[in-house]
Amino acid sequence: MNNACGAIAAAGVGLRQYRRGESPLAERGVLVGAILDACEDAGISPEEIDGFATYGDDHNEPVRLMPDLGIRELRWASTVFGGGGGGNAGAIGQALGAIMSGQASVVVVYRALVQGNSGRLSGAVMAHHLNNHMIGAGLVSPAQMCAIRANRLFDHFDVPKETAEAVVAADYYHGSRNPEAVAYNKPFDHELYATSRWISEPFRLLDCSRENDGAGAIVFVSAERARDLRKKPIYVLGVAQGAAKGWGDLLENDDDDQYATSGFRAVTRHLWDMARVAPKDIDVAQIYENFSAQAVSSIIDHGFCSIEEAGDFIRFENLIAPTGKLPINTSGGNIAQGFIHGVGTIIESVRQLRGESSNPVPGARTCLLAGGPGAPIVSSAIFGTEIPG
Amino acid sequence: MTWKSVSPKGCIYAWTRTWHKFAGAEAFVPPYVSVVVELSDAPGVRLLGTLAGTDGSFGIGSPVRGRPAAVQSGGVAVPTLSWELEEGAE
Repeated sequence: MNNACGAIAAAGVGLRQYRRGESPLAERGVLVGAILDACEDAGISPEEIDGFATYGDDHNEPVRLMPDLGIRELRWASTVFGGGGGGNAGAIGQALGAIMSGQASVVVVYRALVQGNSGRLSGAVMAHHLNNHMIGAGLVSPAQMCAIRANRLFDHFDVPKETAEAVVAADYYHGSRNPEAVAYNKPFDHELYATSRWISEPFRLLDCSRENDGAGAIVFVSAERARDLRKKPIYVLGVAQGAAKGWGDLLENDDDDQYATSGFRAVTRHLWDMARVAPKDIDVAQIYENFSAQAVSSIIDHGFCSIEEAGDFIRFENLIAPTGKLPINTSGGNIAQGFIHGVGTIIESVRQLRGESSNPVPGARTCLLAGGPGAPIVSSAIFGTEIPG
Repeated sequence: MTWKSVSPKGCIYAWTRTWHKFAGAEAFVPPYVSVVVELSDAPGVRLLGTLAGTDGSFGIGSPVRGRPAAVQSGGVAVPTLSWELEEGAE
């Protein structure tokens, strides 16, 4: 039995989100604000922070944050490789490694994105992928790279396209009820979805996450420390990152049996093993949706249904709180809450298990955080209100 | 290991039709179709390119034939393959 399960806990969260181009501060200022919010939430003085972990080419080096936060000593600073959101849960794994090994005691996982400072996210992500094969084929954006695989999922494996619409509908259902969400109080129906403009088939505009300005921060400490802090500890039961052989090819030559997946084959077994739970034990899930179809394949990859069962399982009524079999993206997710490169999905995992979500799942004790799907390196984590025996 | 010539024939493995004008794809006029093609003479190996003449009906498995082409990008000619549906194919 491993001793990593439940070794650390999320103690505080902070999220500052704005419309793209409307951030009142430059990127570092927004990030510092989110970290201060997370410290206040946890009841920890910011000067106690001694570690940072991030992902997705975040431009804010931890050492630059020290003066604003009054940090006395920096002991850990790391990032997960890759330009996409595939590392958002992996950053939690780095916090776990730092704290368990005694290399740091208060580690902030963060991601900040303000377009005026860092430019468009889609271009930054594609910088990791672009080559002449893709440019010559007119494939220059994450939307297209995910679209081409979505068509394989739908047309070759006969997964109904309605599954992707169900994910979007669940996102908007939850987002419309979340005062912090871009979709708050906004209507959504099939007509609106089906008439939104084409981006890259099979994706219409409403299948795509749209970038926001903002920053998110989550404070992690040891489980022992977390029990003495302001809020209920939300334990990290399991976390894994990686890639399997035959995944991560730059020329669309991934192995045939992985091509239409989201790439989680490498991480799910380790994830469930560490967390000592199974898909049936998960009460609620935050399923990173850069694009709708990638959430569908992520749900399949994580074992909630088979590819053949996807049409039956991934339906709107199953995906919404409080009554669905697997409520997902209870803040509205990347599509309807807002998209700061997936950091919001980590924060909603914590809020949901604390009972602070705008769309609570009563009695929820476990939450899956499925990280950015389709990236060369992917990662996922499982949070819990108690540590399984 | 030696290079081996194969014919520029294959079947569509995956595709997307792009409608949005993405930065970096200025040489393409939306809507255009990008394809991943599995080569008939090299099973399991795929090449990328665009599908010429997007009016016809096509899908995964449609047989296609490619010819060399070039796309202007950032002031240089990027070599690529322009694929066409094979005669008589659905």
